[in-house]
Amino acid sequence: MTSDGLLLLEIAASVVLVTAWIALVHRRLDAQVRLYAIQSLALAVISGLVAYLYSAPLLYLTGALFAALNGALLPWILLTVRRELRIPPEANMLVSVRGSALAGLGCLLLAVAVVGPLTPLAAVPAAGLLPISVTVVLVGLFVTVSRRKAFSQVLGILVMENGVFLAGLALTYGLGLLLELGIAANLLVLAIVSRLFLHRMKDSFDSLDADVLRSLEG
Amino acid sequence: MAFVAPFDLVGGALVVLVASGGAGLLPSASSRRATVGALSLALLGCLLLVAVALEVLLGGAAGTITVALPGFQSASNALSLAIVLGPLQGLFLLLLGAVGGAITLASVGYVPAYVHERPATLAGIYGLFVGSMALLVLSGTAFLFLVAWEGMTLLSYVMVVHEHGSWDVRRAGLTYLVMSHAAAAALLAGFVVLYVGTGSTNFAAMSAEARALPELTRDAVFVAMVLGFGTKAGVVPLHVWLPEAHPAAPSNVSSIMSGIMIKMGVFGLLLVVFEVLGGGPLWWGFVLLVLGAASALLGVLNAIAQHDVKRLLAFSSVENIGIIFMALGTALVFLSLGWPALAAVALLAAILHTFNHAMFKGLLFLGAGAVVGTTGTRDMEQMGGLARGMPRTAIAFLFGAMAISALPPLNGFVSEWLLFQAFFASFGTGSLATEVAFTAAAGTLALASGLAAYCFVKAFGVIFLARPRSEVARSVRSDAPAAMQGGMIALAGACVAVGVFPVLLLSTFAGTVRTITGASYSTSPWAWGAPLAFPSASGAATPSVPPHGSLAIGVVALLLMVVLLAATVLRRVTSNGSPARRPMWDCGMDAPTPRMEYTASGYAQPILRLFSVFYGAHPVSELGDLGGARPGVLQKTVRHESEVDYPLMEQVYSPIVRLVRELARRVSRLQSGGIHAYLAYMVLTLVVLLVASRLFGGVLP
Repeated sequence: MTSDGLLLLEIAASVVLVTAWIALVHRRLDAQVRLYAIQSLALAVISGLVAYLYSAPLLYLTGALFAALNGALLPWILLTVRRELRIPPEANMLVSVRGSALAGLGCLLLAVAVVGPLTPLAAVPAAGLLPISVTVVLVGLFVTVSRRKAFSQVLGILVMENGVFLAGLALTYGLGLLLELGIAANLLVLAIVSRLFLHRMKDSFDSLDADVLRSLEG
Repeated sequence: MAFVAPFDLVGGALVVLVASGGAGLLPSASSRRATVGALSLALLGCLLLVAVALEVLLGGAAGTITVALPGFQSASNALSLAIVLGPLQGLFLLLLGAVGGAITLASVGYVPAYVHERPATLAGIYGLFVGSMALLVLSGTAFLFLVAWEGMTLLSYVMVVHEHGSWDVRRAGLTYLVMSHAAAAALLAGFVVLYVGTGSTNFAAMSAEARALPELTRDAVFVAMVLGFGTKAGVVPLHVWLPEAHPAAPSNVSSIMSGIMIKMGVFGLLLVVFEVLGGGPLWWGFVLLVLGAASALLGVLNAIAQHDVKRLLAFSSVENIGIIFMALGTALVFLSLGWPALAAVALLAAILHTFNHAMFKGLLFLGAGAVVGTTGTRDMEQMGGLARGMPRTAIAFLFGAMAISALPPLNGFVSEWLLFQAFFASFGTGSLATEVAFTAAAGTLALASGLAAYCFVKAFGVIFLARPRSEVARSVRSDAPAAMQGGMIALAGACVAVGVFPVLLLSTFAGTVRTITGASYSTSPWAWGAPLAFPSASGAATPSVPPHGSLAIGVVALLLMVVLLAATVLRRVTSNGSPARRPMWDCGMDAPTPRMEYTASGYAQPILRLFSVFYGAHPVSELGDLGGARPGVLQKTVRHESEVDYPLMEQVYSPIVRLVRELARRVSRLQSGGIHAYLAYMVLTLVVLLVASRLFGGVLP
């Protein structure tokens, strides 16, 4: 039974990794948001599995909250914003699809190289999860750097946030409910603020290309 | 012996000084009452500091008392706090309390009378500034020292830019701030190196370990300390802020900055280089000696060229700091050669000149403040004949001018005389190098002293004597406020007292000199005619202090006074009737006008020509020919023009400024303004750190 649980854990973790990677190479913004939603749901599943395997009942609540907020509410806000502001559905990529794919691979290698030696320190479930969480953080960071649209940058930060959540699960069996609630509230604020910010940007510059911020240079 | 425990007094003084800040800075109904209240509290604080100093120096609060403040107990904690009272601390508390007290008394008169904008604010910051200097002197750990140091710097900056309506003042303030921060960075670096080497920030614990540090580490600390403390002291070539900041500040602030704050640089050197590091190799001493000689000479030459009275005094401070540095360097040289008795003589000269300069430069800046406040100009060419309107200020200024020119029997003479003694004592040490070096040093000091006298003849003569050169000078009728006169007279009296009875003051230096050199000397206050004797400093290689190294000038001065008094009385007795008054002989011209007087620039001409190398620009003279049969015989007009700038400064600072600009330009390319670039920097940094942690993970803590 426990081994089944661990297998499920690994499958869910692979889903997190793969969604991050596909989101990295995907051109369509809506698809990216949906990938983010899937990733968040997978993380919620992981949360529940960890709660079951290591009898940490609070993690059920965390997982449920995570599914509701990151898996449903945030993606919904993002999709609405995209439609309202009439942001073109194509991501404007600074790095080509091929380059991005390679960069994603690089992130994975770097994460394994850096975190690999640390994993024996931590007990299961960390062993597999920690390199994946670092990879997801790095991928999210790369998304913020390599996309021209402010919308993509918000998405990248959300992906990073998921990576941090996974790391928290891996290392501490959940960051603790209170902390998680704080982070969730933070994310919500981020979503609202970025929504306002995107509106303002649209009004001021008539564009959502972060490059126009260059004109603010002193 | 002590009626109140010294630490209670210290606490009381600090509380009173903070209260002084509160009185000045908190909102108050009457600005005048707040001003006087704040300054009176500052004066009380100074008096308490004098009491602390006397308990330490005379009452024998022997040794060092360390108080670890709660919450910062651990000795290994780099951020630990401690307050220390030792002989050196006592000395500088005495300087701060006594001379600072006189300046504060004068401020009670000066600030309400001459500072028109926000006088209460200035008074409050002044009180806090005195408090920060007291805390600096009392610091037992490098951490507290740096905190107090920054406090002192920032508060003095605020006072320098008090009259910030003018562009010049803001610019002077910026120069001061930039230089001070560079200096503070050097100090921080030095203390960090010391902390890493010794594992402590506590000065007492540091000094036990610091002597065993590797040579290179000690050298690095020394260089950092000279840069940091040298900037605050205003030694060439780090002095550029000083002639800008002193004239910009209100005069009581210039007085305490020049009199006391720049001496905190000397205090720092005595504390770190002498007490913590315990002296060093020969070249340390020569570095200080050369810096001091350059400052003394360039300072006084620049002072002569000024016609702004406060700039003149500021450059004269550079000169005197130079003399103090020469004495410190000499002491270091003698220490490293293993001649503690000679080092003690040089050290006495250094500390005594520190006190002396505080007294007479404080006095001179107050006098200048009274003159500038009354006439509304700093240009000496607009003054003249002020002795008639402001007789007491004139007399006090005259005493200051004589003391700074090292005329006996005033205090300036004693310290320079001691320093000459130390120089001459190097003969007979058998070391050719030191003999040559100290001969040159003695020559420099002699030249600088002579030029200083020239400079202050000019200052006093042009400001106070002859006839008024302008309408404002003619209309001066009232002397400085009473409290200001009180402060000036107190300082003038101190100049005379220390000049006639130097041993009274020198006896309080004994503890410091013993700590640093191990030599002790007999300082019975009643044997003020007796030579300095060094009974305990007779090593095999120690040349004896020459027998003429005495301080018998008390006797000489008294004799001189008796003779003068007798001559005056004799004249009174033998002369018949009252002196006759006759019109002045006017060389055959009728009605001499102020236009015929020596001007400040005219008086400086010979020196400017003689030393034109140091001034950069050659003075220009134009003769307006009257024409006629033989051109050049009859001249209608003569015009002198001399623009003084600093060739040295140009060469030293311009490359630095250019380099900084160039680097800033290159760095500004990183600031593309594009958000992706900044994000990319973050990613790059993260990746580099991750890789580094992977590669060097075992090495880094």
